[in-house]
Amino acid sequence: MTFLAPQFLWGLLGLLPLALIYFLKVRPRRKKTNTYFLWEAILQEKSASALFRKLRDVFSLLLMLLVFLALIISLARPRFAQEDERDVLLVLDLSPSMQAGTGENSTSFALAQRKGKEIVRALDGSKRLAVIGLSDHLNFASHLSDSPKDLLQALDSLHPTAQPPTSTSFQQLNDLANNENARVIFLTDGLGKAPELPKSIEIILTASKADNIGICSADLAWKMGQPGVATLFFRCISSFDTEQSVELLVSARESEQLLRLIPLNLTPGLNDPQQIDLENLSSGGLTLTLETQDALSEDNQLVLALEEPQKIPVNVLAAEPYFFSRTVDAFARGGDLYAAESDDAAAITLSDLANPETNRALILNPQTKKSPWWQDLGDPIPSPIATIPPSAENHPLLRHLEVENMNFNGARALTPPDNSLVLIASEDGVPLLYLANRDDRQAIVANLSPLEADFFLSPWFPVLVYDSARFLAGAEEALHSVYPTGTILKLTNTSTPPRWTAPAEKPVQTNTPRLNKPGFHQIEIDRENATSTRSFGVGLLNANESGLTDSKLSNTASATLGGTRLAWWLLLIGILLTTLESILYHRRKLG
Amino acid sequence: MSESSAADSLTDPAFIQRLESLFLLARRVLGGTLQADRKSRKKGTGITFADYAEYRLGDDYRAIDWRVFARFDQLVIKLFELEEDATIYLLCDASPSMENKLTIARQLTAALGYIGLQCMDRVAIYSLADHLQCIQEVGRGKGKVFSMLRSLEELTPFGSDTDFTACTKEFQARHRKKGVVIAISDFLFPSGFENGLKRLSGLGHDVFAIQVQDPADQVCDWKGDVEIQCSETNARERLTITRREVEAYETAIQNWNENLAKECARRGIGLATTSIEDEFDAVIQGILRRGGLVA
Repeated sequence: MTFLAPQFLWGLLGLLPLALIYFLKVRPRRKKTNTYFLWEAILQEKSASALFRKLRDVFSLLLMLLVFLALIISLARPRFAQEDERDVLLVLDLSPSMQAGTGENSTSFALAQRKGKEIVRALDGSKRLAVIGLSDHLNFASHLSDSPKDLLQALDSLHPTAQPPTSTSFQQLNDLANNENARVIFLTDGLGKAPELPKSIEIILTASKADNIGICSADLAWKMGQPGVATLFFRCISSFDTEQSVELLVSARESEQLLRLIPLNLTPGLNDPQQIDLENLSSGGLTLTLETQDALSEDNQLVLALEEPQKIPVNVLAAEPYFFSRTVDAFARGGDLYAAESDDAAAITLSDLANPETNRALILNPQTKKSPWWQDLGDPIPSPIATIPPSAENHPLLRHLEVENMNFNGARALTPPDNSLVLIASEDGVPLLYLANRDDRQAIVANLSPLEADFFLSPWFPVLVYDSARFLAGAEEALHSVYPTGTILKLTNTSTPPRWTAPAEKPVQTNTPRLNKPGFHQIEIDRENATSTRSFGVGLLNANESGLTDSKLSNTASATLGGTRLAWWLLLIGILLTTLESILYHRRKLG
Repeated sequence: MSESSAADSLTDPAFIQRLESLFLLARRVLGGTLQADRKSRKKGTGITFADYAEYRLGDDYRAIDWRVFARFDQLVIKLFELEEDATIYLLCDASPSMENKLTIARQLTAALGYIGLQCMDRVAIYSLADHLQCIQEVGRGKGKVFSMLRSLEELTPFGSDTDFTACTKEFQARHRKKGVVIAISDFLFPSGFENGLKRLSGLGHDVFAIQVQDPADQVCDWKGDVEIQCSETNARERLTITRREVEAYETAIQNWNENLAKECARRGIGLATTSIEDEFDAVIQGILRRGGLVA
């Protein structure tokens, strides 16, 4: 046995004065009696307790010495030598499913928090411990500390989040477990989590049995060719054992006007997706509400944004306009692009000319030596191999292009204007696709011969036309109607970071908003002289979390963590002995 | 003299007046007015018819009831209550255990002695403790009243124990003449009261006992650790008094009193029990109204 605070053992010296005090003769009250001989007879009858009477003071002293001994040893915080010496990393699952439960104090998280506090109190500073929350990342609520107060405060500071764990956060957890000096205790409901965790991670399951129904996926989009009509897509999941009948309320987000009430018969598990056309809609948003009382309320409501469709007017200025026009017509059916009524009305120009008289243009096949968009036009280069310069990686224009499969035959050596961004170049560094800026004008130049490269017939032609049109029109960031919590949006191609406003929070300027808060989000993007506002919804949308799927994790934590410390037992013994001595004292003084 | 000591004084006129009242009551109850008018259980040559007895040779033939002989043809003689010149021995317990009870014990002794002297009986008074101590030698007549009262007044607890048996032995040695022995005590004798009472009654005395009780002796109101000290021997013992001890003590004292009553009844000894809270004259009146100390 070892002691964490051996300095308290000096307190054992207090046994000496305690014993001395007891050896002082304390004479009880003296009473004169005329019937002494009767008392003698009574005492003789009590001969069985005569020994105890004689040893009574010694027994009392013994009791008090034991009490003192128990208290001093308790203060010295004894522990068994074979206890694990490693630090403890207490990881609490903060995923949404941890909020499941039948009451505020019976949720899985409340159980986990309580268990964590039991561990902290049981260890009582005997070893260092850190409190960590696990959601889509690891949240260190406390550093390694042996202060129970700090650790309990850290546990109290944790709350379930709306972000499910990710592979990244589990990888971080695994990295923690690889530390030989630390012991990882994972307090989780075991629902919807990674089934495979290293054995070095000790798991304590704190699941609160509950049934839940939730919306696990949803989308909302305008219906092609039908103005005012949008299609709502949704899918529900149920963890009930039997079929449940619920109602899905579809209402306008701002006016809260009920638009549709959809009765649903949900079978256990993941249900088939449903699509419903909603007519006479205007831009804004919808709120989906599942009318049910279940374990998890977070997945019963979902906000979806419905933005005004952005139609980009496009004109074609080309020697061979056929393919350009057909492409525009094709996208016009979807409502994204349409052929401008006049050249002045066009926002984007598709051209194979050297210098189309527009501010935004996609130019193919540079042939003319004089152009504001290139210089030093040279000879065609044979079979160029396309590569993406490091500066252009992840550019939105390349998002849907498979550069390695593209054919840039007919490309010619040239020099792009200053301040141009080369998106694709040959191995020799000849720009094959670049974004050029000149004054307030912008052009995307594709350095290839459409005929030689069979570009018009390749799938990359419409992709390049569509992405270029949206990019040059500033509409390249096609946002979804709703995102799952934990999503990190990447907003590029903006001169300044957009302002992102989460529900009930102040705007934040960022290119990568982390969508943690369910509700209606807005993004304001500054473009030249205008500001466009985009909106979208954020919801749980996680089948594992909503379905409370059992991942078959099992309790693996060793028993040494729980239980009551030796010091507590000693304290309890001390209290019991004090009580016994108190009873004896009461008996001596008051009979 | 303070009020309390005046109340304790046996020569106080008011006290003597109370004694006189008791004597008058005694005269009316006992019926006699002259010498030897104290009733006796012995049969003899008095004037008050007591009983019949079969005539035997040697009996005074003048006592034969001829009317009975005429009717039943049997010789019987009339017996009369003996009216004798009695000696009253008053034994007053003055051991240290009587400290609280000595006042009423002295008063009772004084009252009985006063009545005896006024009835022209011979009265002797002794105090009991570890030995017998004479307060007043045998004497008769009203002239002895004040000396008796003064002696009683000066009586204080003495001795280091109460040895009733030894005292009765000493009493036996001093007085062969039979009489009335009245023992006034708490009868809490460590060595027991049986031998003493047996000896007194065995000597042919008419023995009577007046037990003076102190309520403090009858119950135990102590709790917890106490060191009890014997009021006579100063012996000490430490003990813890719980409810069990209290019950045991109260049972013991109750048994002690019951044994005293049984012993007295068995030996034909009249017993009266009183408390220090009672007035002595009320006690005497009670005894007289019951027809004297009746066994």
